[in-house]
Amino acid sequence: MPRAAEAPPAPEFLQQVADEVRAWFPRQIEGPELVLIDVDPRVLHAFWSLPLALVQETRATLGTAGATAPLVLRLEATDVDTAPVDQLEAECRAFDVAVSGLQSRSYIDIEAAARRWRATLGIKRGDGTLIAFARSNVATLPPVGPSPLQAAAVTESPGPAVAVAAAAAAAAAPPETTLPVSTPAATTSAATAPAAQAETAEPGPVSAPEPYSAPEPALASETAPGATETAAETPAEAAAQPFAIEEILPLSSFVLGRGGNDVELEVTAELYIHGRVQPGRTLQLFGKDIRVRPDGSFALRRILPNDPTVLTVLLASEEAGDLEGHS
Amino acid sequence: MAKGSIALVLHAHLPFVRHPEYPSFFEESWLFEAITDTYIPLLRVFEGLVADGVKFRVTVSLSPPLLAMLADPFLQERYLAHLGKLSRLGDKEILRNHGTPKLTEVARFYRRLLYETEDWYVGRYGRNLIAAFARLQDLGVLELITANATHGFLPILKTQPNAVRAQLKVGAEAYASAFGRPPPGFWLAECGYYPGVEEAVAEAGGRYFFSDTHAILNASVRPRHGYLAPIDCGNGVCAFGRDPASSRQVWSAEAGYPGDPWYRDFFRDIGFDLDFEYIRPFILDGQTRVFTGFKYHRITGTTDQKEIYEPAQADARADAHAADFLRRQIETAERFRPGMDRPPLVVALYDAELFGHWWFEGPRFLDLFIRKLVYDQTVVDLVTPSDYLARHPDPQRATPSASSWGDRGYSTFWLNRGNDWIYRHLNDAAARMQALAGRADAPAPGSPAHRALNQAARALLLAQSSDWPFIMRTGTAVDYAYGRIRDHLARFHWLADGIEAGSIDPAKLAALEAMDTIFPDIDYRVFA
Repeated sequence: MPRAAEAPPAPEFLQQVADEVRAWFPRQIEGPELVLIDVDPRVLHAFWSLPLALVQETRATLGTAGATAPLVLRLEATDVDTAPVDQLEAECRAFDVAVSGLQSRSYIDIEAAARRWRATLGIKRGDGTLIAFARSNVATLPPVGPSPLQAAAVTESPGPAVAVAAAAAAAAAPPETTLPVSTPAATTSAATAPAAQAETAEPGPVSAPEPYSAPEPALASETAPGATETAAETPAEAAAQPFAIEEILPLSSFVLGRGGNDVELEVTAELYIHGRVQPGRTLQLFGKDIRVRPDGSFALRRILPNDPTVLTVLLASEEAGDLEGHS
Repeated sequence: MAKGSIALVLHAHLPFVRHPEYPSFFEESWLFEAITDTYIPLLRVFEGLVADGVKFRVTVSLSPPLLAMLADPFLQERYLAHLGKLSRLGDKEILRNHGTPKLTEVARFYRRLLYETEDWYVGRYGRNLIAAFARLQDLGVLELITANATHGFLPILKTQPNAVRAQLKVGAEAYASAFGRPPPGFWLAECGYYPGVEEAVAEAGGRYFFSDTHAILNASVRPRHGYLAPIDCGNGVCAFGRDPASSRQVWSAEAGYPGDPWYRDFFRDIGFDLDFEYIRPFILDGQTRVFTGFKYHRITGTTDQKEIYEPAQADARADAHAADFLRRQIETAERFRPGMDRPPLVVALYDAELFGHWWFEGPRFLDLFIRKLVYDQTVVDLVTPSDYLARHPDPQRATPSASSWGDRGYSTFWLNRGNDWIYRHLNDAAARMQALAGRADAPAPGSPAHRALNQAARALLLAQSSDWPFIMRTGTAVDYAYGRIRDHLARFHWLADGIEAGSIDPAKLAALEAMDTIFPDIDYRVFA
């Protein structure tokens, strides 16, 4: 770097260069690429980039079914278990989340106790197998926070001179970075979890980090497995789509258009729906079951549809036959 | 020997904000306000303690961007212009409040403070605050550490391990350049920890870092002493967990000391209260109302009705709060020492800017707390992390849990729907930088291509700052944060394209170097 002896460029020239260089962002990211990041003990974040041509060619190989075959993130736990896992845990360790967009991102709620996760992004065939476009790194979730009882015990008595050698559930291995899979390949079928939409509650704005207080495990644990911000389509919805979903501009996607045309667009339009029902009641929105927290509150996000949206709500009490609908 | 210890740790950090392309720039005032409100008041506290022969030990983290800005003649000049403007406002305020003794007293208080600030900054320190901190370290009262290069949030940057290593190595180099020695420890931005980062800390020469409480409590092995003793991550690098109680007592606006009704109200400022024509010469470009620092009211209560600030009363409250804070530390030591094989260590972590800027009386509180601790009792003593590790060199081995000190304790504040779009671009740029740094055809040092590679490394590091997603989340200066991310990534790719094409416009390269001057001695190969 030139030292002080050189005369600095004039402010006007600096501004001119800053303005000119600014056009170099954003840069087209071709992909295929899929990155997985742990957000907190119950949430993973994924972002990806896929080349349009790759997706189109792949769909073409599927014939008429290719146009509506869903794009999914297939999540799989990679924990090495020292003890057998129960059925519920096993079911939560592999699931699909329907997503959309060539360049997009998603949040995935994890209900399993497993901590190490890998994702594969691909098009799901009718038989459940996946044509994979990209495989993620392994992301390791932090251990679920101490239970309130445990937290209180430790806080109240942080100095017991007793060595407790039991390893925590956390797997401490460093994360791996894995090159994306560029050759489409089928994978084995995984259980498809209901892509119910849920939301991990977000904090209010603060001007500086405030003291951390123990997480609210009840909130996180009440969300559905595989819940994500991107909506899963029902078969009926998918059939009604005249185009493959990634050919429609998803309003939550980051769409780049440099290189031949002038579109540079960042849109994050979403519906954020939250509210409260009587505790114990069930709730449906968009024809899907919504997880209601023990206090009756619920929240979800959904990509803003391109068409007018009717919110159809169905409430049901725990007693059969007591149904109530609103729209 | 004391029954317990307290490590008082102040983390001073601001994002690198420097805009020579404009005659003035509002966001540069973040630095100016922090110098006036926090850095000089803290230095004055430490100098006063030294002058009085008080034996104390405090840890101060000075982030690399802050070090770069404090050392920058361009920003020093602008700071003096800023101070001069405020001093003129002080003169006007004394005249304006003539006839209202209580207000006049406060106005005189501020003007005196501004004159003293200028006297300390120019007369005593010769504009060199880094040397002032270094001198206190040499005197043995401060342990200075630093942060990763641009305060990048490492639990997210880990998708590109080279980016994490570069953040830590460049941070260590910036510290060594400023203080002539390697940093004893690191402040990992936002106390962001993930298992494995300790390897990069060790590579950069650090012996310890700080984490939030639950990083220790949820460690891979149950900690014998909870968060009241550090743990060894397995490679000799130790994690010190934050004490939640001491944080709450100082951080919390409601339950903490800063919310006392006698303390100065931060938000009530004449920049917003006074007639526009009167205040016009002292606000942003004469058009946008901003804080001036002239605040005449105390917190009083939760309503808009505020009483006039009385410095003497506020001082008395600071004294009471310092005594209370000390009493709590003594209680902790008395309570937990019997069950431990070493004195419990309370790690009190704070953003330095809380003291003085947000909590006006904060430096006075620290001054009184340290004096009381040293003179009024023998149960607890003040230590630095290095002191504690020297006394107790056998910490328990365990891997902390991934965590941060942000809201909810993990990555949510820096990775959410309001800012997550940045990470694909940061990930892409870090991968591209690694490829550039690993090229076999390394250019000759000093050549345009070599300078371009170094400048690309600077641009990428600046884009990685945790401040931009933080600001996007808080919603305070979103356009500015967005612009900074965009500009740094754009500059990075412009440079990378030029490097790959073998064609760099030297005039434009010089312009980028003139704007982003941080890390003048960087070696781009740190990204290899």
